[in-house]
Amino acid sequence: MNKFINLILFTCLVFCQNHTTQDVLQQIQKRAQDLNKPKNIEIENKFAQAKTLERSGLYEEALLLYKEINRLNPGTSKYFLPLKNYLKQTESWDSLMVYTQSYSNARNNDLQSKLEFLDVYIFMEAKDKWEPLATALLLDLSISEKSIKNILQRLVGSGKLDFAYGLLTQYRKITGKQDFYSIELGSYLGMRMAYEKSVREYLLFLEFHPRQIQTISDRIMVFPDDPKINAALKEVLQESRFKSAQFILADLQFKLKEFDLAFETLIANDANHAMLLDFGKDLSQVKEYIRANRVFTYIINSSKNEQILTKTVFEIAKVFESKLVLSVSELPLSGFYPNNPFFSSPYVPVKDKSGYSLQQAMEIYDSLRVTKKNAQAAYRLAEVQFRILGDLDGAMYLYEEALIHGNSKSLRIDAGLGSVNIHIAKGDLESAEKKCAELIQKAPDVLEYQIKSAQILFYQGEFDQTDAKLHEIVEQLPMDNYSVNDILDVMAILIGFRHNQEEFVDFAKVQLNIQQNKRTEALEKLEELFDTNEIYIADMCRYQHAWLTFLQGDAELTKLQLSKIENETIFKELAHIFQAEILDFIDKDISGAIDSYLQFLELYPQSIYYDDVRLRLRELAS
Amino acid sequence: MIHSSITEFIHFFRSQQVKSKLHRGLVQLAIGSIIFLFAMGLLESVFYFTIPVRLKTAEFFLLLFFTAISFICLRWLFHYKSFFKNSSNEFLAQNFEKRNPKIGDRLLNALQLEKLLDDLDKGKDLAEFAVSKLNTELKNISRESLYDPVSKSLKKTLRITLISAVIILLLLINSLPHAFQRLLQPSKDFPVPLPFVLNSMTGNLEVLGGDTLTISVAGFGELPDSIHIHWEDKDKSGTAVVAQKNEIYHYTFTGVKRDTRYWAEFKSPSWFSAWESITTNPDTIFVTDRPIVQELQFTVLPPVYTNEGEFQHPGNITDISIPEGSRVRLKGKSSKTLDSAWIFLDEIANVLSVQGNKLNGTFYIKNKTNAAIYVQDENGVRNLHPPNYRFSIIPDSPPDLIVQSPNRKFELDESDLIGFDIQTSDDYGFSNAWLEYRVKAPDYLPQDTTIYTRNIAEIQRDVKSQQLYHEWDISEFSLAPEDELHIQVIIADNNTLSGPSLTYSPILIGRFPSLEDLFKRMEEEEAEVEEYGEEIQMNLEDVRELVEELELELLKSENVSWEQEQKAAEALEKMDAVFDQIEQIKETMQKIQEQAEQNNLVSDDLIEKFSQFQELLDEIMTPEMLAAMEKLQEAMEEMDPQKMLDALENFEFDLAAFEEQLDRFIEMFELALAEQKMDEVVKRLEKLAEEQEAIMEELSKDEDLATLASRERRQEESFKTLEQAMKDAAKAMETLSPDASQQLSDLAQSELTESTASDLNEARTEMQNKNSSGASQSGGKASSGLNEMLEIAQEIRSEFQEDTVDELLRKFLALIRNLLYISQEQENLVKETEGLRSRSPKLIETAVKQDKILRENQQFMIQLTELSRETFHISPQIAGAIGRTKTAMDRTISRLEQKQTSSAKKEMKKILKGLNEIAKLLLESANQMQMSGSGSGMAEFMERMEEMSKQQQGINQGTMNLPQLGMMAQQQMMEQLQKQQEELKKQLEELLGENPGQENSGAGKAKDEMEEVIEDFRRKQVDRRTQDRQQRILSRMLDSQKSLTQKDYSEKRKSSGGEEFIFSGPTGLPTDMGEREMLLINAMESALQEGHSREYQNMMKQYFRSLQRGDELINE
Repeated sequence: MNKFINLILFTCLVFCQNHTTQDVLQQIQKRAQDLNKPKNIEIENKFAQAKTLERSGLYEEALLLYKEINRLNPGTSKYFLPLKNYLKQTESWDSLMVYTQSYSNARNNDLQSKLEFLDVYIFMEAKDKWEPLATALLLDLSISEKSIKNILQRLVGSGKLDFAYGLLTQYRKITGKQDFYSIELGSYLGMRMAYEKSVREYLLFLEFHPRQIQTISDRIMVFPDDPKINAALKEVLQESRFKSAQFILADLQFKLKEFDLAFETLIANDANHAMLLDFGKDLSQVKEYIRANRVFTYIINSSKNEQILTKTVFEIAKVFESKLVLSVSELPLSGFYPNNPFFSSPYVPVKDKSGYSLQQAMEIYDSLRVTKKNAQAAYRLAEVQFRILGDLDGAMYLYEEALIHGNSKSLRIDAGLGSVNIHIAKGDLESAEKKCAELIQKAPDVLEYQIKSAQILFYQGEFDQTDAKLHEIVEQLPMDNYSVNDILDVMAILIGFRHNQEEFVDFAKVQLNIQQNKRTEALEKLEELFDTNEIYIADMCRYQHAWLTFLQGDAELTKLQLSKIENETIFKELAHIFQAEILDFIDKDISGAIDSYLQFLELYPQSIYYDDVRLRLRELAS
Repeated sequence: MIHSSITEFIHFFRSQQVKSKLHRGLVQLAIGSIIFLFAMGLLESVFYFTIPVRLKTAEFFLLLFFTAISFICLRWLFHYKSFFKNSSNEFLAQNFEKRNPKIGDRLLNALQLEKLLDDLDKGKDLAEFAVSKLNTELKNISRESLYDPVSKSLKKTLRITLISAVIILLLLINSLPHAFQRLLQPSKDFPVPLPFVLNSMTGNLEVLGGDTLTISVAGFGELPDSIHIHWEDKDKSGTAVVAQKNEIYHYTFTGVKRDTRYWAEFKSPSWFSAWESITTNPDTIFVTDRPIVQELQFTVLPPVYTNEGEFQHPGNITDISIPEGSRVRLKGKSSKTLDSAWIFLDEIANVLSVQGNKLNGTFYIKNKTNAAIYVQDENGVRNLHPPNYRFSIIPDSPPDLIVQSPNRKFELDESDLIGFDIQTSDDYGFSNAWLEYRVKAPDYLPQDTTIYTRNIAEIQRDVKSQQLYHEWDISEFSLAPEDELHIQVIIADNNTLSGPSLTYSPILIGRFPSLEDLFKRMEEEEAEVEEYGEEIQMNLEDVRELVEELELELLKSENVSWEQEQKAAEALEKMDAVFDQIEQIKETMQKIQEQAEQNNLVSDDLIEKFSQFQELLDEIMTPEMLAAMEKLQEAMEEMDPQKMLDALENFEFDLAAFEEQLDRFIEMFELALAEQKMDEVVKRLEKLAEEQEAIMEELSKDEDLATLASRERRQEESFKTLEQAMKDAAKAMETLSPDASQQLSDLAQSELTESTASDLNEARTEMQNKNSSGASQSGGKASSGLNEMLEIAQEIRSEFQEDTVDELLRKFLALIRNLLYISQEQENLVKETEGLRSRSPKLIETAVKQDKILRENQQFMIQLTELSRETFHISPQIAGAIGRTKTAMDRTISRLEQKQTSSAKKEMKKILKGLNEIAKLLLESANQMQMSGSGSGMAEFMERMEEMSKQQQGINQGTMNLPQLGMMAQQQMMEQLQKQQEELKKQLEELLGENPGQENSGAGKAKDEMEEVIEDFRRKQVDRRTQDRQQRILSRMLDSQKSLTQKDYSEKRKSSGGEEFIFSGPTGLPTDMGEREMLLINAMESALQEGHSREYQNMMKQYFRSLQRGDELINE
């Protein structure tokens, strides 16, 4: 009997052994094909469940489900990839191999499944398998470029860079596409800090796509500012026989502040004038005016393109303008709304020795205005005449000219605003209002005119109207518009005056005086407001008084005025900084400034200027 | 043995074999026959087979026997003669091979050779030799050996069978021969011997219907202990077991009403028995009928005053409840023609009239009575069982009375109206309802002991259950603070038999609260809030300690110990306790707010603040905190020290934020309390001044000086408490506004205060002395003193408010200024970087500048947080914008570091946008705060809200009229109404947009409801719910106005006139108009009308009353 049972068992065993893996996989494949829709829904549900489990951190349970799903429905990438990722993470290579095999069989060993095999072999470090497979795949010309890139990506991503590069070289040779995968490889190498190789790949790409110079330049400029790296990059760029490479070299030199060398590189490689003009503009931006002028002069001497020439001349004039204007206040933190057109004078302070520059700039603008009938030049000239020279009538004429002949809307708007500003500067608010209304009628959608109109109402002391108008404007303005914060400044000040509207009229007059460059009158009027019962207004007026006094050059009186701000308003904090900055930057009383700064840090630990003061203190201490 | 050939040998062999088979067959047949016969004999001896069974058995035996004999004989013949090749030569030769292996197959070979001898040419000699040789061998075989005798086993079987048969026969010699005899004569009947016989002794009987009789069955022989008596009538049947008594079985039939057949039976207890049962022949009991009372019906005739109609009572229910004073009419029938009938009422006979088989009569029942009805037929036969009934009396109970409102103790307010919500029910109706009341003055004043009455005209006399709404204007009493009104509600029913029953309510005491009471109550609740706050702080401190301790322990240990787990659990429990306390604070805050609103105690702003406090409490319990607690709980369950440590850190972080929020709450609450104290002072002064003016006016009209003196006395008392209130307020304001505090202290100690107090005293003395002119002079001085004091207090209050508002406003402005500075910096940076490229060396510089802005922004956030502790005007949108801006700043720096200039520029723009947005929101908040301080802007809001309320009213009216319209008209109307509703919603949205603070108010909710109403119109599903929604919209809109105005107008001075008035019930009643109570009353009414018995009805009443009382208790 026992013998009989043994025989049966043996027979079963033999039959079972006859089901090879291949058979099983074929069965799975067949079953997968037979799967009907409702079953797919079931699988989808299981898949969703597995995902949920995975998200909940129940990885083991999720894995069991993924396995089940892939057993039931092999060959679907959507189901396979999560399983693959998980098995990869747990380094369960045997299981991964089995499931990849099943996946491949279900897909009739298509390209995707081969790629999956490639992945698995790479994970398993089975060099004898992934190398031939990758080679075979890559050199199979029937495969699309996208797939080839995919293979390379896998190889490179797995650190098989040298092998991939070898294959890539072969591929490029066979197909004749020399720049194939160059930009991708460049990026990858850049990330892996193989900067030289990266640049070479970028240059290879650039050789075939010369228009992409800016993109490539940007990518190379991102590399760290390490002297060694820079030297290596320079060497690679210099070695290159392409002009584009030299232009990138010039960018690199510019980045390294080797401005002259950069210019020379550009000249040596016959850079076009547009490029040179941009170069000059960039120099202006970093305040390298002399070098910028040199570049512009070179363009003028060498270019015959009128458009370029005009632009260049403009830039020269701007350089002169920039040179003569005291661009930043001497005091970094202090000031009474220094950039707000409602409260600051339109007149620009100029450097003492600015005569030549001013003359040059004006001549250039005038020349362009006359010879080229350039409205922009007329506008710029008007600005100089108004803001620097204070020639209101002359400026008015030029603004009008720019307004009439301006070929761009923004220029016309600026010119229109300029002419209103002239009226305001004259103190003729009626004309300003009239002019503004005229402009609004012509272009009712231009918010700049509306703002100017509100500014006039402000100077007229019309509290409610100004408030309403500003509310209206601020609702329409996009919040990233440069005017928004100026308007909000004004609105905040209006809140302070809501219950003291009579004093607002006086305050508005002060601001109008400032527009008219009548500081003394403004100071006198401000003094009248010191006694108001609203301490916020009183302190604000004292602070503005101090600021105007400072602008008048009387630092001592400024300090005296500031010391009188004693109420617990923001101006007390501002006054403290103001005093410290006078000590620091005007009186050069370092120890006094340090004491004052220290006191500030102690008194106002929550001030927004805390860090600025702290840093300044460190500078002074070092 | 001599034989000539092989064939002969075989023939001889065949004859011997056939003989053997014949003998065997006969022996087998004999055995079988004996067994069968004895088996049948045994069975017959036990069961006494019936004739058919015996016949069938005999037939079967004979058939089987002769078939067997035939088979044996035929077999012998066929084999002997070798018919149909049976026992052929070859077969026998082969058979012999097995029998004699020595000869083996040679016999067959020899047989075949012998047959072929004649035909053989060659080898014949050899064949002959072989045959002869075998023949020689065969000769040596003896003849006897060829016969197979009957086998020993068969013989043995036959022997055993015969011996067994003989033994059985000997053993059953008494029964077996008889059995064989019966079997031999199968067609003859042999009676079964029985152990006993049964005979009915009573036989057929005759009885009167309903009588009881006993039957008897006699038994002879070996009688069993009991037998069965079976009976059946035309409707049913039955069986009874009766016991033997002196060889007789008796059984009693009770109340025999129909002819009944009966018989006795005993079934054989054994299955092996010759008989199945022993029975008697069925006999019959014949029944003669008595008269029976049938179809009885009672008609109850209640007394007239109950207004109840006569009602029937079915005769099958023996308990009859009748209202007190009712008469009962009886009707019935008998099964036979009657001679007479009577009813016994508590053993007193009342004759009923009889006609044929019908009977009837009417009688009056005063008390609880038992009744029995008797009838007698023409033969003088009475009914055997007279039907019995119990009459019970339902007394007329006094009315039930529940006073839903006012409560037992309630407060009288400035409206001088008391709304009574009375629920009453009586069995049969009411005759009257009235109030009895008296006014009780404070103890220090003389008392009026007269009891007054006031009729409640709303009572409906013919309604059994009703809810009375009675409104009583008590302004005529001129009640003063601390006066009490003791009221009792009395209801009388309509009982005319024994006179109306009265029900008295408990004494309801309405007290006119003094300002002191009101403020004291608020203060008590506020003290409760403060206590909770302290408890929370202590709990939080404990939690913090526990968490820190636990963190330190976990850092050292690898596993989570039980103690550590307990500590964590304790921390969580404490936090739960904290949450509970916060909920309690919220509830208390709600109460405070309601009280303040109701009694017009404090300013508009302060009430708003109380509401915001509740929102703040909601914000304190952040989802992050709850999530952190949940995580800690999970970590505890997992017992993973690392996870627990992480969870603890997380929890600690959120705990810190929680504490910070709580601190903010406490700080702001203190400010609110100070404001409240100041409001209290002003309020008291207002009241004093008003009252003093009123006294003076009445004095000029020569009113009763004694009464005025009492009022003046009250003024004196109030003034004393005012002085204390001023001191308290000054103390509360000390830290918040030292100036205002000082001024108030000065006022409290001023000469003005002293002189006013003495003037009040003097005025009262003069009044008591009946010196009118002196009283007028001193009272006038006191009045002007009070007015002066009020002015000063009001000034101090506005100064205090201004101080706080101005201070906050300055902080707001500072914040805005700082933010705009940052925005300006950002703008400059954006401008500077406009043309920035990746090659620019300025990138690093730009990143540094951006970092500077980031730090400035961080400082700004600290300032903002600080400010948010002091005011509710920091809206949640600000926090959202800050988050976005901060993220953009981080991203910008990161992009700049990666030299991604274009995306950095985009992020910079986002920063600028974010900063400006925040500044704008802050400005809006500052504006709002300033507006609320001045009140400007609200008037317009209210005006528009009022206008919109009117429009909503129109739409509501239109919707209500919809069902009255035709199909087409309805469609058109609906479209029109939808448009109107949409338009109104748009207007409301605009209005809310302009008043951001109102977004979460009732008006904000009204907007959401409007959306639903519009949706109803769209779906053309306008029903009751739509109307309800519309009504809610209107209420909310009206409430929005009210909430903004009620603080400006006292309820007392509320105008009673108006152009349009929607009457929705008397004032002073609950907002739900006692809907629940009405619901209960209606439910009770419908339950009572279901036709249940009185007892059930009473139970129902009790149930519903207990429900109502439950409500009442809750209300109290």
